[in-house]
Amino acid sequence: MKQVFAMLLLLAVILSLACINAIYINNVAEETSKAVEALPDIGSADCARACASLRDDWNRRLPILNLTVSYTLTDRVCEQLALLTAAAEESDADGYAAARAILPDALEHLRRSDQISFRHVF
Amino acid sequence: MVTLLFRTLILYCLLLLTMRLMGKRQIGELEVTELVTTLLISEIAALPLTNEDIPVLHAVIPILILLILEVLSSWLLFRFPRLKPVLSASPTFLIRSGVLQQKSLVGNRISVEELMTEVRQKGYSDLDQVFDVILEKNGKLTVLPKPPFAAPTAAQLGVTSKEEPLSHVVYCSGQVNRTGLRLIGKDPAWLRRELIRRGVSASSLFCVTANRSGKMTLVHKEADS
Repeated sequence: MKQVFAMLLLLAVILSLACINAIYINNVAEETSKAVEALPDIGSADCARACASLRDDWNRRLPILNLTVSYTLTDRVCEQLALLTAAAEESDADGYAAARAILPDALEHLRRSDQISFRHVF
Repeated sequence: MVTLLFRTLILYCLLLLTMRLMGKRQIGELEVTELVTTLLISEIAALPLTNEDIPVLHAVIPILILLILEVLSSWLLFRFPRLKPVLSASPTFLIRSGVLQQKSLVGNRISVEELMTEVRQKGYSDLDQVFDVILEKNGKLTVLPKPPFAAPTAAQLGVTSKEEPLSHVVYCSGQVNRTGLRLIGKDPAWLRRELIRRGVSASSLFCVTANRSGKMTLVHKEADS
């Protein structure tokens, strides 16, 4: 009987952690997405600094994200952020626009990775 | 490479713990659910070992969930026996009272040749030597012979044999096994006295087994060990 209670407790802990994880991933994806939208245009003075700051924020959150999200998904975001930062520093308008356009998609894939949906399960 | 090393260590410890918590039934695979769980666990554990892109938690969480499901389902089967037919098979007679159960053979997709193989492996040359053959839940066959072909027991031969208590290892590789001594109702002091009485030094011994009646078997070390 003790073992059964221990298993039920473990199940409750796992479900709680799963919910917390899903909320965390969702929040990170949403905040990063909003930050990308709020980035200044390529011509402005603090564009490169804003991109670097966004990248730093992402890198700070990355270790916790990678506990449950596969590297394939997070690497995609990392690459686009690197391209974004490089484009901002080089004042490459096309590269900046492309990275800025791809990032929300990559973040959406990340967010979907932990969502419960019929399509996702099957 | 270092990542792989740590992942292997983590998953190995987790699998050991999981199998230990599931108990001996898992190793014996008494139920279908246990076999399924064992297969799944080994497949899941292999994933992060072969692909570093997959986080370790993608194996840890499913393994823990399987452990939980296995313990809960075996408890449910224990607590509510009516669920047994739903979750597990029941033993089936393939030969009953010497009569071949043809419908059972067809239903379980066992050919007569396969049945004969099992009967031969149990030491019987023909089906007419066998009284019952039961296909157990774990897929193994139990063969019970007809009395003329069964090995006679001591009781049938009128031979009285003394009951021999179970022996346990009480000393091995230089270490006294206190658990073994406790199981036979003795203590290390008894072991020391017995070895002195026999004129044997513990350092010359590889292992010692003993039982409750005090019978001891000494295995000496080999010359070059």
